[in-house]
Amino acid sequence: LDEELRKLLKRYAAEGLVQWTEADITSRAIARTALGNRIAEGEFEANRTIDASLKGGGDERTLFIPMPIVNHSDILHCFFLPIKVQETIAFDLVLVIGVEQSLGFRFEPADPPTWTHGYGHIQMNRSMFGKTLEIKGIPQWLPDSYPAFPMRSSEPLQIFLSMATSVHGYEKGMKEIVSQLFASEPGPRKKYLNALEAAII
Amino acid sequence: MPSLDLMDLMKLYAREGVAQWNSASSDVKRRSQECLGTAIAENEDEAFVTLATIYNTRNANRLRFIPMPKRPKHGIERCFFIPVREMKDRGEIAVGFELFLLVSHRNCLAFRFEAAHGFPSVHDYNHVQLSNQMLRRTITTAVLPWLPNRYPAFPLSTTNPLRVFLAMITSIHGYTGGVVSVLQDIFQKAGRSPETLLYLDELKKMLT
Repeated sequence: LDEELRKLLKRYAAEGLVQWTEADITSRAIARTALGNRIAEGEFEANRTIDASLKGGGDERTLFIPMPIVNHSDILHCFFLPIKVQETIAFDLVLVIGVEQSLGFRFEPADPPTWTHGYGHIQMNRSMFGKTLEIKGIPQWLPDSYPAFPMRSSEPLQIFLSMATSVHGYEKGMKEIVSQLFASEPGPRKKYLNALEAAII
Repeated sequence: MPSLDLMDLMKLYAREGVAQWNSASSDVKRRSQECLGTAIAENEDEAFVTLATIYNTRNANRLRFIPMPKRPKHGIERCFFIPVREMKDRGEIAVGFELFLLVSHRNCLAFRFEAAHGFPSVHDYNHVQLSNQMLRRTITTAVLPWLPNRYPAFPLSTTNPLRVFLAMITSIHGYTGGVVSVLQDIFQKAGRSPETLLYLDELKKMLT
């Protein structure tokens, strides 16, 4: 499962980087300011972040990974970051909407069943990567414990697919992205599309 | 033999929310009113009319935001919801929910829980998304105007209206010590404690 997830993350990140590089200079400058230049600007940096994040333990060189610019109207750029927490994987999602206008979300697997967040959930987030990375433009009054929207699964692959679908949509969004990422590999394409359907529908 | 009943559950939940709202401070009431820009259900009758109304774009004045029980006690000052029941082409009733949060001072957030849009489209799955104008843009709130209201659209874990309602209240209260306690509380106050198990089972199936 780890390798399935790693392969998808790297392929998705590569597509995100292509589109990030082609984006207009102004929007990239706004995003760089918001994220304090902590953005993976090339595949080597993105892959290093993914490998380090899935391995766990933290890495001071951790960078936000640009997501493909597909749909998400009203949002300039989206970035993600996988985070290994003990044996599970969470994802941070940062949305740069405009100058000094950003939002952050955390997609988290279930906490222990006797805790209030004992279910896979999505919540707002004010600082990322275990509260070590500040994002400019996130209103500091935003609540970061509640609401915690239930997700269908706490499995890392399904969490990632839920997160990506939330910014691209499904049929005319993430489904097309996955199909394009694995256009020449029918086996993996089918596998990821099945996982996507299980996560969303 | 009792069975799962969304309307019954919403009535018990609304009754508790209204009771707690009645003891809220006048300051909270004033700020809620100002931020929502529309009516709040101030008593059970107004809440139950809202629950019973099938929305048809011309009767928005029958819908009032229903106060939700305040649990946990910190983080968000008050939450309100409206179930939006609409008659569809083939006579079936679709149910969505509008959720409004007074976070602090005059800072607020709104979300809408929506059924899947038509196929094929981008939002052809049940989802929850941020909102700033509620009830099909008929209510303008004090939510920051730059917050995006089409994306992100978070996939919901269910398509069943009862479960969507349970998902919404779980998002506000949390699970253990949160929605579990709220459900126990409202059924106990109704003198129907044994029925709690029905809903707790449903909740557990949905969340695990």
